Amino acid sequence: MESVLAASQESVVAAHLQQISDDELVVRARDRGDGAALDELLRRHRDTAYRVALRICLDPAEAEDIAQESLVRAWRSLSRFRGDAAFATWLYRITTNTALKRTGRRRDVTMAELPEAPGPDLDPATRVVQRERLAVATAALASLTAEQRACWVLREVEGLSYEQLSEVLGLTLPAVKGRLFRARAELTAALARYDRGGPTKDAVTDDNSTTATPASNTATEANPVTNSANEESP
Amino acid sequence: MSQARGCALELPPEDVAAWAADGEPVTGVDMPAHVATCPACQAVMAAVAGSDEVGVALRRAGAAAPAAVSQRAAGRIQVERTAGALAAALADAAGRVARAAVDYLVPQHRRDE
Repeated sequence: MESVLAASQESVVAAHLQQISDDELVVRARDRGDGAALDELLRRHRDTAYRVALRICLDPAEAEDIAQESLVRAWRSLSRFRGDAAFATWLYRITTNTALKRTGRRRDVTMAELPEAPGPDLDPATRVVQRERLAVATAALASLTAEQRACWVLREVEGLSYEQLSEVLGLTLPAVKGRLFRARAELTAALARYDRGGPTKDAVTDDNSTTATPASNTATEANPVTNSANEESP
Repeated sequence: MSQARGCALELPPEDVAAWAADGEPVTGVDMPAHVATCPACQAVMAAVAGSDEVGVALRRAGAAAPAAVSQRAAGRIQVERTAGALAAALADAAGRVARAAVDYLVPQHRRDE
């Protein structure tokens, strides 16, 4: 009887915690040592941490480790979190930094994951083409530096503003724009090569596992631009 | 900073691309009017056109984390909390022992003198 009552009480508390803001959860977890509030905070943001980690490192197993590590780091640093930015933005920064540190600047990323096929309203032939285009684009993403990829993911997938990107990545606005430009040009060039029916830079294998070759200057091949953005010195 | 080849305003391509893709303003330039007559900027826009479809597809695909991610994180946090509390308790106990030793030894030393 007691265990039933306790379980019922726990579910009421959990339902209540789902209604309150991140900031309040942070206060409860940090200042009062409220374990339930901490659990809710971790549960609420684990998808974000995992998604960002996955799109940067392109490896589900590695992404799980990065997400877990990021959540623990966030907890360790909670005392220094002053609420100047949203908790989610702060966690983006921790996750991105963790992912970049582990992935480094290497370009030889091995992809084990491809995006799901688009919605069911498309005919099978269109779906196949869409899936192939996504595979090509994902291979192009893998050929970017982790920092370029992080910039593109946070903008295009997570929808962060340029100012947020600058804050999360610790870059100047021109540097953010430079990285985004390179990433977008690389994707556009890869899709254009696919649409022309030419060889894509990174062939997609049958088992959906692709190793990107070291990046060539494909973006500038496709771009009538004098010099690509200098990303090392913003 | 680089510039779009042949752009009369010498606009950096990354600025042109940011305007084209995200509507980021370029200070002091009426971009719609400028790009309408600037082949260099039109080329930059073409160089990044269509890349957003990948972002849309990835957003639609989503990526949910296994529940184990937060459970393992919570477990590690619990371990660290326990370890921290234990360390604090040990430090407190050690301090009390040291103080008791001083309280015992100092009077004895004075007596011996």
